[in-house]
Amino acid sequence: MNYVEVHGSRIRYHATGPADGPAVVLLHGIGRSLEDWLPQHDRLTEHRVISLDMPGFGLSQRLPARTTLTCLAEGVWATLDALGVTDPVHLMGNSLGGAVAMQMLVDDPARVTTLTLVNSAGFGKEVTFALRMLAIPFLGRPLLGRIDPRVAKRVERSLFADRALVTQERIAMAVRIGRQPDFAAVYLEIARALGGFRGIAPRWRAELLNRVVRNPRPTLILWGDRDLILPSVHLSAARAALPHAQSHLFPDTGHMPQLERPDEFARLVKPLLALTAEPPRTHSPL
Amino acid sequence: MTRLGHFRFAGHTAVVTGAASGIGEQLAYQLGELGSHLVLVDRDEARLKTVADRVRASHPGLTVDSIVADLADRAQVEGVATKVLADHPAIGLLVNNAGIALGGRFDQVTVEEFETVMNVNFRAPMLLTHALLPALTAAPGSHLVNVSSLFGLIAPAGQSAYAASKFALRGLSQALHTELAENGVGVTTVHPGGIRTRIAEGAIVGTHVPTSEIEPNRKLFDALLTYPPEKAARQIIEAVAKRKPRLLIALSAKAPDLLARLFPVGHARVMQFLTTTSVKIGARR
Repeated sequence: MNYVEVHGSRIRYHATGPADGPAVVLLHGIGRSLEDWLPQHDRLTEHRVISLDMPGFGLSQRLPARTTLTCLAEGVWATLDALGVTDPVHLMGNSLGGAVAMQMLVDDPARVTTLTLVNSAGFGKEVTFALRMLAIPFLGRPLLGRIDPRVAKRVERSLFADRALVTQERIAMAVRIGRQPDFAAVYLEIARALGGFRGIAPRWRAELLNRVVRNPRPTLILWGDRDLILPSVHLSAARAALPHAQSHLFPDTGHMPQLERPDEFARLVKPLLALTAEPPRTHSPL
Repeated sequence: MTRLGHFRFAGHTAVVTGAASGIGEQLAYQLGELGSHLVLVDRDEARLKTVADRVRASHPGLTVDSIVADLADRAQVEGVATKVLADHPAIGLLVNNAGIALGGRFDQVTVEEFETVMNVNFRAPMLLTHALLPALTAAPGSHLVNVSSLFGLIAPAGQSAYAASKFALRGLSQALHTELAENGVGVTTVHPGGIRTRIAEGAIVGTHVPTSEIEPNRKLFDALLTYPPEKAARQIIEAVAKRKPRLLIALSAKAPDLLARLFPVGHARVMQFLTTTSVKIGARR
């Protein structure tokens, strides 16, 4: 893993594949890291694949500004600038990363070729009780303050349908991330910016989706049918909001299909990554 | 019926007859969204291709097969079953949805016309279910849907063949509900009323129906068939997910209107019967 300096903060990233050609940018979910995308680096070998710990997450330092969706989107664009990626990219985002990808698209449409949204935030208010509790005053910080191996194991278990994926390695990484100095602060800032105890707030979702529809890109929406974090019923809402998108629902799969169904995932996204940055003239799905 | 647990659509194969239009077409789109691989059956090749292509374009990760067959023909039904069994040794869902209508009083239709309705609406589901049982019971938790009708509950004048076929399908379906529970297969009998589908367009008109009666009848049906098929499909999918044994669609909204038109004199008594039935059904839940 490497680090690059962005607005004075140290951002951790992982880049594989040929240095030329359009890049594929992979964005993780809330409180997570680029480790959530490692199996795809091994599979999408024909492309320059870049994953990163978004500012304030994983092992990246936070940005000075308060963590919001716009701030994260800007942070990722700035990271790509620092890496010399100026051509249009393929964006893929899991969970919160999906919402960040959509925000990046509407903030700078000319730089985005395709969009892959994986169990993405933005399509419904329902979200795991664990995240809603964080919105309760004085409760959020203590909850996030002690990510010991026991807590980390419980969190990891909620992410996968198959418990075999809850490895010691993943638990150790989650504990390490939880010990980063700004982990709790950044987690709470973004959680409270996007929702509250009653779930994910409707206003920013409606505004964001309206703008995404005005900048249609070839879009693939993927979901696991046993997601306990963002329920798969959001997929219907996603298809209604983005009628130009393709979709696939994975059986017996949790919140992170890119880890739990890595081969099928790669097979499904490859045709999308073969598309070039031609501004779409029609609304037909691909 | 929570014993079986909720039906999970993703990753299973669903076989849907009459999939080129109406409820079957909408089921195809919604099942695709839910991650089911599909085998779509219809006699209308062009429309079936359009539907299958649309599902494929939206869901590149799914296998979508289409089989063109006229379910009035016994050999063709058997051909469908053979093909499905060869490609899909295990299926998760079978939806016997295809149906045709026949206009005319009993003395205005020929025996051949009557038999065609029975063959499509009753014999085909019976043959297909029988032949596909090994694939349905291959893995526990599968589900069977038989689309009967409002006329599987009441039999108005002028609908002898259609009502007979739909009563028969209801009888088969209800018996199978109990029998297949032992195999861990759920069964839902659906009774739609007044769904906006192409069934009236494709209806056979009895040979001896006077020409003067054809057009008014068609218009009557057009006015009655107003409930959107996508909503009907949504309700069927929810009923399957929850393993409901019986689903009535659009009856409360449509039945009074429909009955008033069909039984200008005696509809009050039929309404009373229907109400009693629905109360009984409600009490049994």
